[in-house]
Formats: sequence, structure tokens, C-alpha cells
Amino acid sequence: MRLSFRLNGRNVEHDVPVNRTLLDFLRDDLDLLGANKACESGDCGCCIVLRDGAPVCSCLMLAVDAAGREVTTIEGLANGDELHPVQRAFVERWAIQCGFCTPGMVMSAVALLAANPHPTEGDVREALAGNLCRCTGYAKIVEAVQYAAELLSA
Amino acid sequence: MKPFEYAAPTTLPEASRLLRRPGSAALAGGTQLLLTFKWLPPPPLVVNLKGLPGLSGIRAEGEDVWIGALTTLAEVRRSELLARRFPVLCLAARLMAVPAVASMGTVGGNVAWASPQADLVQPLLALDATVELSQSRPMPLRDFYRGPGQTALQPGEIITGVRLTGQDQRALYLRHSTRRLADAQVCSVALTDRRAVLGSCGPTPIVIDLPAGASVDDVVELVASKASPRDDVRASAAYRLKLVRALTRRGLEHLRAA
Amino acid sequence: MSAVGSRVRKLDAVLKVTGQENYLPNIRLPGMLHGKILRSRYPHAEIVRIDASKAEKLPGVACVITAEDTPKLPMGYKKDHPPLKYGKVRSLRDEVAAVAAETPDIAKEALELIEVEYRELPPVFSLEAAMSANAPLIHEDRPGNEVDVHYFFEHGDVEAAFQEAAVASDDTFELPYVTHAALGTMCCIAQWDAEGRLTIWSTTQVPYLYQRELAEVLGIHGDRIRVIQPTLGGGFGRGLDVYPIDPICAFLARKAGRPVKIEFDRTEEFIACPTRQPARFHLRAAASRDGRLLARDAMVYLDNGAYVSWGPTTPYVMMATVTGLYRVPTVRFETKILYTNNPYAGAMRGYGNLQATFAVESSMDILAAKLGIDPLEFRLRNANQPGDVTPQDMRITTCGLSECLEKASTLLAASGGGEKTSDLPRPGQPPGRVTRIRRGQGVASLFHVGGGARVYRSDGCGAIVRIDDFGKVTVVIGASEIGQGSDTVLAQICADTLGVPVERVEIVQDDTLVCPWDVGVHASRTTFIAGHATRLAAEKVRQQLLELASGLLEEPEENLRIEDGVITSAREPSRRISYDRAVRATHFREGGTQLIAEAFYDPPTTMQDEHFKGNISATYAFGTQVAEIEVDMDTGRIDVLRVVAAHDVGRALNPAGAEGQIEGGVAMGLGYAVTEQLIVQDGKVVNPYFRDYKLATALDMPKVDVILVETNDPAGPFGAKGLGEAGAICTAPAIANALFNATGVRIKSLPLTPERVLEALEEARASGALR
Repeated sequence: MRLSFRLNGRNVEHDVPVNRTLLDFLRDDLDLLGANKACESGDCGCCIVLRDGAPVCSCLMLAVDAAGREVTTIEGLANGDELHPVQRAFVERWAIQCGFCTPGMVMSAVALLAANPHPTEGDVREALAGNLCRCTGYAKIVEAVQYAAELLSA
Repeated sequence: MKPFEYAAPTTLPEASRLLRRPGSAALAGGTQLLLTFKWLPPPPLVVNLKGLPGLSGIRAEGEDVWIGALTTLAEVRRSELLARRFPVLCLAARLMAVPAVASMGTVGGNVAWASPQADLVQPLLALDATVELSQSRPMPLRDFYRGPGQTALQPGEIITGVRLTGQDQRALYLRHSTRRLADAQVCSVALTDRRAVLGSCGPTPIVIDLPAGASVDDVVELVASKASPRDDVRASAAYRLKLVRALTRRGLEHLRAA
Repeated sequence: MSAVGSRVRKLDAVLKVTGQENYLPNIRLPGMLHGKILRSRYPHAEIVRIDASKAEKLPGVACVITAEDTPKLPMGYKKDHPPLKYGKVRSLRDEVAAVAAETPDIAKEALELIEVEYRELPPVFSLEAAMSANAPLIHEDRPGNEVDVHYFFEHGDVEAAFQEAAVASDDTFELPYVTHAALGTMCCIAQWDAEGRLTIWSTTQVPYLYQRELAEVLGIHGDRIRVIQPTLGGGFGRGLDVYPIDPICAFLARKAGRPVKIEFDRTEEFIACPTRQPARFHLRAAASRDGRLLARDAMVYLDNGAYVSWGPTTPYVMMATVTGLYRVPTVRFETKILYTNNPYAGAMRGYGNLQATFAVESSMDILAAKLGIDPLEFRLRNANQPGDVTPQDMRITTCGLSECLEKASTLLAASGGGEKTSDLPRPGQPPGRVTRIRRGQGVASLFHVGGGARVYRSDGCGAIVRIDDFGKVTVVIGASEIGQGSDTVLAQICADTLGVPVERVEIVQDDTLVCPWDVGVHASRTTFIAGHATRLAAEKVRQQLLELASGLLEEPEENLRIEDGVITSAREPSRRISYDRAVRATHFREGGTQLIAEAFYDPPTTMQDEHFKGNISATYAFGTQVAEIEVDMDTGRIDVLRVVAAHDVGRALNPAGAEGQIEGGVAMGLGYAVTEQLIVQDGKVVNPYFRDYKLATALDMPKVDVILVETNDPAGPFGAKGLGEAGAICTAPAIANALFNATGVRIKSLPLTPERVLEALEEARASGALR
């Protein structure tokens, strides 16, 4: 099928087989390797990208279902060399260890802060409840998201 | 995954025609359907319903609240109308799915799943919801479920929405799981003064009409007597029965104290 | 400004946060095939016949292999583990055949076409069954099902100590299967060149041991193998051994004549990766009336599973805790380790210490209760002190245990109760209220190696430091960054030793062709040992710089300082030169030289002798965690509200990194305590997915306060001790002790599931033990 959608701010047209998830399409056909594959069952959040601004598990979405939508991946956040405030906050607050969960975690945080610019700690934890991390215990991730909220409102 | 045919109809009759094909599956949010692709061969035809107009939204219509079948769980959670009229639905939507799943999963998908773990279904049953269908007349949600995994959907038919009348700010949804959010439910109770609906206590959601004026103890016993849970990897049947009692009692005490 | 001690940004953070990191699954090679493994249908069976002909004919399949395509050389600590099975299968995990194909889907389809005929054998799934008189033999070349690994340690007269004791405890603790559940699954890429040399990309944590072991299994010389360990999505001890995936990948690549990648999906990851060692831990302990520990006596039964990986070596660490956590004068430790048809266990963060500490710290509380002494006070009275030598001759030098005990408890008490930060109703609770909840607090400490662990003939690490013409400092080192932040700490050590900004330092690691040897990432050793190697090599380069600058500036060396990359004369500050200029000056001339030096650091420790005595680590780490929990008395559900973790880290070389390791460790320890269990029934993993193997989420994690206690150990680089495992070790007993504090209920098995807790509460209510 011919798929037409917007990806990281640009129009994209691509042939894609129907039996392919958005995650596999991003990774295998478009070489966007930021979203990671860790469970393929919607339980870990490593594959989370934004669809029309909302977080979605790209492993549970058919690529063809992106038709006409706006998809944002981790690769679409930074502005050239300038990191997105959420990315900057993650770096500065040591919210990254192995980093495998990081792209999904960042996308979830971006979506949260767009909908709720001043989240409480409880709001942050709840928004990230679908993003598993085995390294950090989440403490510094939560701090980073709260710090990102400050950066964004400044 | 193995190949399949795919269609994205833009009208209801077109969707209906496609869904009449044997083995075809409706795709709404995809959070349930795509999971099955991991372990089973996909259906020969997948019909994406998201292009059908007029099936999304939460509206007040006179005394009623109508929720379109394609409304996402995230929209249910955020709905100010539902927060005023039926806050238990907002809570169920919040408890049942993490944000990345809630933005995809739909009300219609959860209702059509016909599972005893379907978290929206239990409060909807407790609230006496009506389900609206594309071919048949609306029916009480209670009558929509015909057996384990079986609904009253006719060939080619889809759910178009659910409808609730009036309001109920007191209805409760007590959902036990090990982790705090979206963890598969071990046992759950949706509760109003007149009705209890049990989840994960049998092959279907169990609806129990509560006699007026009964004591807490009597209601607890009645509800427990209707539960028929099984052992599985998450919990034993014995534990689930204890939970049914504990959650029902806790819910009734809460309702009656208010 | 000193890099050591400051929260220097993680070196690879920007790469990771922009999705640019090159994790192993992201690597593609031209012509690469995808491999899949066919696993056994039965937990115990003879292999009668394998027919792969249909699979071989499937379009897109490059080759199929069975054991017949291999030299059948075994792997593992006891060499009982063939990569592809022949003759019989001994667990559901067993690898029977493998396919390489153009796509993963074709490979999967091909697996279904391989016909295997089995003759089922009676399976063995329990310790009792394995030990019974007529038990089926798992390995027929052995006389019984006991694994050929034995531990027996005795110090003093244990029975006499129990005779004179005022109180004694006698309990059996059951520790479950859990698993690493790293988000990056196990993965391997193998590529042979035309001269028969193998390059292998692996999720190993021990590239050099892996190189050696793999060579033996493949039947080739070690120098024909190059091991590359790309960025990992976590390790946690999973990568400590060679597993069937590795030689199988190599065999497939050799037969196909093309590179092959095998990547586990999540289900396979749960099924096929080694587990933490489950244990039945029988522990007796005795104390005097005035609250002194007199003796411990441990008998530990281990279900090893079908083949020996590192699981049966975990008693080395268990023993150290039984004999060394708190001062205990008289002690005995013994094990019995059995083969079964269950999944085999391996190394996992803590390496036996979580199991032992659960037993020891639960029994400490049990003794304290019998004595009527406060649990904290009891521990303080028996706390290890600097200068102690344990019954196993482990020499405690610096020791912050008492400080950890006091600081952790004080902080928890001082800052009031923990509160759940979210207004989301608790599971099973109505909105806005919590009913029938009890609160409690519990304490537990840990004792672990902190300066490496000489369990192999070498505990060393080599480093090369060089400075290039642009002033970039490269540390080429054998130690591996597996996400824990070791790269950053090494850069800090190098920068401060040389006197240059940390931003100029880069680390090159994880390639056995290029980097000097290291025994691997385990035993919390990397900061300590790789840190020393880096420091020593950097000191040599610093010396070279000083000599060089001395000539260039015409100043005696003793007058020169290097700070912030500038070499200045102390006496005459106008005599200065930037270090990169100095490097260029010495390079671009006749008879020029480069600035480069190496060092190999092997710590001053000894292996244990045949009596299990020996100071295996250059220093030891201590820590205390205090947990505050709430128990739902009607559902049995435990909510952990708060953990205060005080850890003796020697010196926090990067406080942010140290905190992160401890916070992550607490999450793993909490999972071990309340949410995680790999449920194995009849040899089968019945919950091989994240929906039912429950990792704590951000919402399940409590507030964790980390207190870094700095005892400034002179043996460590800049005073540091290792801490990679410590955070996970004592969380579970702290929670179990908190449960007892809240309810009077003592549960001796993990995890503390709501179902198990409720059952225990009901029994306690019936027997009158409920508080």
C-alpha cells in the first residue's frame, strides 16, 4: 500500500506492506532506529512515538494506520544541534543509564508536558507508568521531567 | 507477521459488507487485535473502522450521555461531561491503560472484546448502559453478552456507541491488581446501590442485581455466591473469592457511609 | 575544578537521548541472515530423530544446523552443556536445531518445518525428586543428580555455640526464580572472514572470558576470534557466560557463509535467559542474652536446572554474607546442589547475595524479637568494624556500616512518613480514601565485595591512555560500559589524574582486538579496578607530559603543575604551555614521540583456598536500607512508600551516577520483594511476558532517599569502592521486616504477593499472632 503521512514535520510517501507494524516500518524501512523493540506487546513503552501529539505504542499499530496522521519520533525532537528541553533535562539530570527506554520515555514526557505543562510528581509518574526502565529506578527520570517543565515554561 | 488483506472503509454499509466476509476482523484501536498477531495467524481481512464518520465523541443528548464507539480511552478519561455525570467511567479508563495504550484503545473495542477483564464494561453494566449497533435496535449492554467471548453482534455489524441515562456520581469501581496502573486485573467489582458487576471471576462479567435494603453481610454473600473464578498464573480461585468479598464489603461500606 | 566528585554528565547521554545510539539490534551487515533457534518440546526426552529437509527447502532459508553440524564440544563451568543438544534434551529451553534465513519471519516459519521425534523421559522438577533414590538421571554420565560443585565451611564449634545461646532461630527461606528482564534482549551477530577468523558482536559482559570459552566450544584457537560488545540495553549479570545462542550463531554463519544475527524476542528472552539462582535457604542463628550474635548455621539447597552456568557458584557470595554480615564468631555453611529439568540459573546482580541477605536479615529480626531488643540496636551491637577479619579471612578495612545503619534510620524517622504522591486510587481502594491499612518499617543491611573479587586467576584490567595532536585523550580499556556509567567515571579519573578537562576524554572499549584484557563487568569491580588501571596509565602519561614540558618550558619538573589542560610553572606562571601544544611539539619533529602509556592493575587480593578462606577483595562495601510500607489488610497488597538507602561507597566519584545505580538497584530489590517472579511449572515458564512478569513502574516506585556514606578507602581509586550491585541486595529483607513490624506476620518466601500476604495475615489472625 502507498502510505502518505507526516513524519517529524515532513511529508512522507512510502510503499509499505499492510502486515507491518509502525515500529518495524520506522526501523526497517526508514532507518529510524531510535524507537526500540523490547516486548512487541504494548507493555514496555520502548517503542512509543507520538501520533497527532498523543503517545502510542508503535508495536501495536499497523504502519498503514499512520495514513494522514502526524507522527513524531525521537529523531524529530532536536532542532539541529539544539536539544529539545526534555532531552536537555534528561541529559543534565542523569536520567539515562543504558538508554534503551530513553526514546520512549522522552516521547511520553513530551506528550505529558504538552497536555499538562505543570504536572505534579504524581502526574509525572502516572504519565510514565507505561515506560519500563530496568536501570534507573525512575527517580532521576521523574526529576528530569519536572525540570523540563520548568525549562519549557521559562 | 503473515500477510492479510486490509481495507479502510469510509461508510458504514461498506464496512458492513467487508465485515460479512468470514474470518474478517474489525480494527479500532488495535491494542487487542495486534497482540493476537504475535501468537496466532492474522485474520484474512482486517477492516479499519477509524475512517467511519460520526462514531467518535462524548455528548449530552437530553437526559442521556452518548459515547461513540471509536472514542478513545484517553478521551473518556479526560471528558468533563463524564466527570460530572458518570465519574466512575473516567476512573475505569484511567486505571485500565497506560497513556500510550489509552490513546489508541476505544470504547467499542473494549465492549466488543467481550472479556471478563474488560474494565470499561463492568462499570457500564453497573450503570445500566445501552449499546447501540449498526444493524440492530439498541439493547441493554447486559443482553449484549451471550456467553464467554460472545456478543449479539450480527454478521457485518459493529457497535456504534453506548448510551447512559441520567447520572451517577456514586458508582464505584474497585479493581485489584499487583501494580498500581494498568496491571492486569486480578479481580474487580463495579458497584452501585442496586447492582454489582464482577470482573475476572468467571468467563464473562457477572452482573448481580442487589436486593434493596439488604445488609452488607447479605449482599457480600450473595455476590460471592455468584462468582466462579478459576486458578490462573495471576492468582488462585480461592484468593479471588476472598477479594470479591473484601472489595464488595469495602465498596458497600463506602457507598453507605456517603 | 575537579571532575572526580562532581556530577559530570554521562558521556553517552546525548547520543542516547537523540536515538542515535548503536545498540546491538541496530547493527546490520551486508548479506546478513537472521537466525532462529528451535527449542525442545519436552523438558526431558531422548532425541530420536531430527529431519530438517523440509525446512532446508523453504525459499529464503540459507541453512539449518543440528548438533551434527558441530564438533559437539561442551561449554560452561562444568563443561556439561553442549550448544546444540544431541542424544537427549534436559529442559524446555534446550536448543535442538537452528535456522538462518533471509528474514526473521522465514526463519520462524522454517522452525515449524523441522521434524523432531522425541521419546519422553520422566522429568524431575523439584529438589526432592532430584534427590530421591530412583530419580531419573539428568546427566547420565554422573552417578546421581548432584552437581559436581561443593561448599562446606566451618569456623568454630557451632553446636556448642547453640548450646550456650540464650535465643536461637531456625527457619527455611524460599527464594524464587527471577530474571534480568533487561530491555535490550539477548542478541548475537557472527561473521567469519575468508581466512576463518570470526568476529562476533555480543551482549556479553565479559568479552575476554567469552572469547576464550567460545574458542573452546567452536574448537578453534582464541586468536581467531574478535569479540565486540556494542552498546547494551542493560546487562545486570545476564552476559556473564557463554550461552548456546553464541556458538549457534557462529555455526550458522560458518555454514551459510554469510553473517548471521540472532535476536531474542521478549518471550524467548524470558524462556531462554539464565535466571537468578533460586534457593531453599535453611538458616539457624543464635545470640546471647546481651544481644551478641554467637553463631550461624546455613544449609542451602539449590535447584541448578539442566546445565551448569554460574548459578552453582553463587554460594561463594552467599557464604561470605552468612559468615561476614555482622560479626559472627562461629559459623557453618553447606550446600547441596541438584540438577533438575528446570531452566538453569546464572549470574544476576548480587550473585547470591540477595538470597543470603534475605535469610540473614530476616533471621536478625527474628532473633531481635526473641531477645526483645530493637532491630536497629541489635544490628548496631553486632556491626562490623574497621579492622575486623571475618571467619573467611576477609579483611575489613574501611567500614561505614554503623554510619549507614544510623543515618538511614534517622532520615526515615526525621522526615515523617512517606506518602504516595499520586491521587490515583490504590488498587482495590475507593477513590479519596484508604481503609484497613497498616504501616510498618523495616531495616536490613548488606555486606559485599567493593574492590573486585578474585574468583578467577586474574582480577585485573588493562588500560592504555594516549593523547593525540588535538589534545583528545583516549582511554582504551578492557572494561565494559553496560549502561552503568563506568565510562564517565573512568573519564573523570583520567581527566583529574592528567589535569585536563573531562570533556577532552573519550573511552574506547569492548573490542578484544584493540583493548587490553579485563576479566569483565561483575562483582561491582569496574570503578575500582578499571579505575586504578586508568589512573595508573594516566599517571604515566602525566609523567611524560611533565618531562616534555620541562624541556619545552626550561623548568624543572617539580615546579610544574597541570591544571585545566595547561602546564604552568608554579614559580614563574608566565611559563606555560597548553598540553596539546606540548603534544604536537614533541610529535612533529625529528626523533619525535607520542604520548601514550599502559597499565595493568590486578588488585592485592588472594583467591580462596580449598577451605574457602582468603581475602578476595581489596575492600568491602556495606550499606543499610530502611523501608516503610503499607499493607492492605483485606487484600494483602503491599505498597512501599519510602526507602532510605545509605551506602558506604568509599568515595562517590560521580554522585549522580552513584545515586542512579543505587536507585536502580532498589527498584530491582523491590521487584524481588513484591512484584517479580518467573513462574516455572513443570519446567515451563508460564509467564514469559511483561504483563505477568511484573517490573515496578514509575508509579510503583517509592521515594528513594540515597545517602552516600564516604569512608574514603585508601585502596580504592580516589577512595572509591564498587557499588554496582549493592542497591539491590538488602531491599527485600527490609520490606519483609517492615511487614513484620506492621502486622506481626513473618513471611519467609518471596515474592510477597498479595495472595501470599493475605494468607499469612489470615493464619496470624487465627493463631493470635496478628498485631
